[in-house]
Amino acid sequence: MSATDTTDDAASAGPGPDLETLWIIYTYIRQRWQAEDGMSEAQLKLIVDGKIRLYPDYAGYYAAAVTEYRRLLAQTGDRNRALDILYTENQLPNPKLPDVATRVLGEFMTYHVAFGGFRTYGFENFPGWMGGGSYQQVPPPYRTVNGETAKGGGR
Amino acid sequence: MSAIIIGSGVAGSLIATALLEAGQGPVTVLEAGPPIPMSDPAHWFDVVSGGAAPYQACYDTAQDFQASGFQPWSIIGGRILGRGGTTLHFGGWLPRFKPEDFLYHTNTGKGLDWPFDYDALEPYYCLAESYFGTLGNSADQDPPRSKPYPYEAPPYPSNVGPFLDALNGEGMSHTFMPLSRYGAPHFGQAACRTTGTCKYCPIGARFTGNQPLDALDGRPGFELISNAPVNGIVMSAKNTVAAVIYTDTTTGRRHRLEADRFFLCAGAFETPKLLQRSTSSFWTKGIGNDTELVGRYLMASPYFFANGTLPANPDKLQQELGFPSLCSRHFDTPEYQPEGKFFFNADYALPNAPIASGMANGKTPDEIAAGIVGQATLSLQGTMAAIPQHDNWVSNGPGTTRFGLPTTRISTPDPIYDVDTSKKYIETMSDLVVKAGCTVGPKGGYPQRGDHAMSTTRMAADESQGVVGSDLRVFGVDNLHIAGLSVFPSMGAANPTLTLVALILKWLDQEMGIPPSVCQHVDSTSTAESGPARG
Repeated sequence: MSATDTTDDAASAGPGPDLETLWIIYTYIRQRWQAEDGMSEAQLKLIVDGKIRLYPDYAGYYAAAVTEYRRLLAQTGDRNRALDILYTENQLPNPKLPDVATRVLGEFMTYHVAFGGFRTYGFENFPGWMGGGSYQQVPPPYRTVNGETAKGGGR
Repeated sequence: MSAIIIGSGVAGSLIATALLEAGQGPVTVLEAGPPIPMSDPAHWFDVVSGGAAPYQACYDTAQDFQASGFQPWSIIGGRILGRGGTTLHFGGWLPRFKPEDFLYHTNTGKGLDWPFDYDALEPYYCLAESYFGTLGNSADQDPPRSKPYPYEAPPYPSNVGPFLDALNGEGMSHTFMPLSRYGAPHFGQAACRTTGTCKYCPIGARFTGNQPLDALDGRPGFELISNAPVNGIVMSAKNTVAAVIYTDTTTGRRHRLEADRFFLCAGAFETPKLLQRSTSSFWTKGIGNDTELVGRYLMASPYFFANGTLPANPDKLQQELGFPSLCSRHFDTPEYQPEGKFFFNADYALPNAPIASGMANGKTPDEIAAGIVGQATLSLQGTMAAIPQHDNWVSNGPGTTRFGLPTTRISTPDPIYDVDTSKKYIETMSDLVVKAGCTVGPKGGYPQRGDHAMSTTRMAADESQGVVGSDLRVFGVDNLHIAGLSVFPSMGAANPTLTLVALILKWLDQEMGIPPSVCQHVDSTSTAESGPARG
């Protein structure tokens, strides 16, 4: 008995995820919420491939997101318009496509915030941020009760 | 001399390491649960996005136990049955017990005293802190310490500022929570990068139970067999263990494994359950159980909380450090021991800015920013020292779990803490929450999950009062030792894991003739890596 399913069978069955389109869907978050983050396309590929390896159903969720975006793109003829509709129609609490809303778009938003988007709101560090550095740094990589900060800036 | 260790958690792995370093192998560790991936990138990304850590698949389920009595326990999430054990998910909190904790019976008339005092254990506390890669406030001499921490505590994060002001205003003492957070590479792992996903660290920068095992993997004379629940212990005479019988749950086949020495490190539930079901003509009630104390005096840390709401958060307080910091032992003193001591801390995970959730709900950047400086939740949480009660006990239940072990029957007819005292502490925390600038929120106690379950094979002077002696040897058996929280005769208010490792290091040194210096990560000659001075 193993704690997780580590078989590659599910990931190798059928075509892989459309990472190019998923990257387009992801980066729209930066545009829509006016915030940069440190995610790279290679890192997103790691995330997507990892999700499918752990939970094969994610292949379907990602495919559904891609399919919906392509449908909207065909309908509108405009990338930004298609992405705007994709996100708007899948807002909580009543998304058009619940799995797309929570397991794709919602998780992409979480990664965006954790991997740097938090800085836009004036925070120095955030759960998931790998760039913070050691707590032994002077000043430390987080805001302290005495107001020390490693870096400034924010909304 | 060959050795079999049952349980691959923090106790079992330390003993395995010590025996092998001292040339006392071969050593076989039997672990009922499976291997669990740690520091795995895919799992980490999943945790960041809100997914479960892989060890959560190795928690008990509702079908794995039966509980009855005062506030029946629900042990789902309280322990991990897998390679490395429950420290895979522990927060790394490493406060020491206080001197009075070793004199519980003398000071309260209840329970038992430990067979040694704080001063006797103190040098081993220093070694245990080195073993765990511990940070802390070395200037804090409560309890007294002879060496600095390996790493100095950093400044308090801004999100505990309101509580710091409240405690100072009330004249209540506070300190930085001692924690396993590597300030430098340790156990072959990287130094902490304040990633704040400590429950599943991507780089292994706090102690988790797999790390000593990873260091032992491939070493001649060491073998770890996972998916191997032990069915019973076989005696060749009343005072001699000959073998254990275990099941390979991947094949269903049973195996007999012989050795010269045996060490039970399976935790406060499984260790007594194994002894109880290992009946024979020599031990009709189970090994070490002629006086029917095996499984008795079960207790665990009771947790309480008090929440509050800041009407506004103009300073954008947010969990940025990502691990605990501000804690108070103001009520963890001899004065409060008779009624029950209390150890509490600021919830490090609050406030938690709802940025991603705001985005998911279609909020604009300005709306999200307005929400951040709007209302915010703060919380204090704490735990009391529990009371050992004879009639609170653990035993084998009907049926078996998916790990091949009997289910766990938990009977707690007697309260493990004074309810009126707990209400007083809850109100104290609630008052502090108000003084921190909040309106009062929900407060109370958490369901008992069995965190830090202990004392079920407690140390005592003889078999009329306990199961093992100060040498951790089961009374009446020459080659069977127990190492784990199950041997604790009493509980402090603070977390017990550091005390457990200190106890084992002391026992290895003084009873087993294995000095701590043989353990690679326990530097008996170290001075502090004090870190940079703070401005």
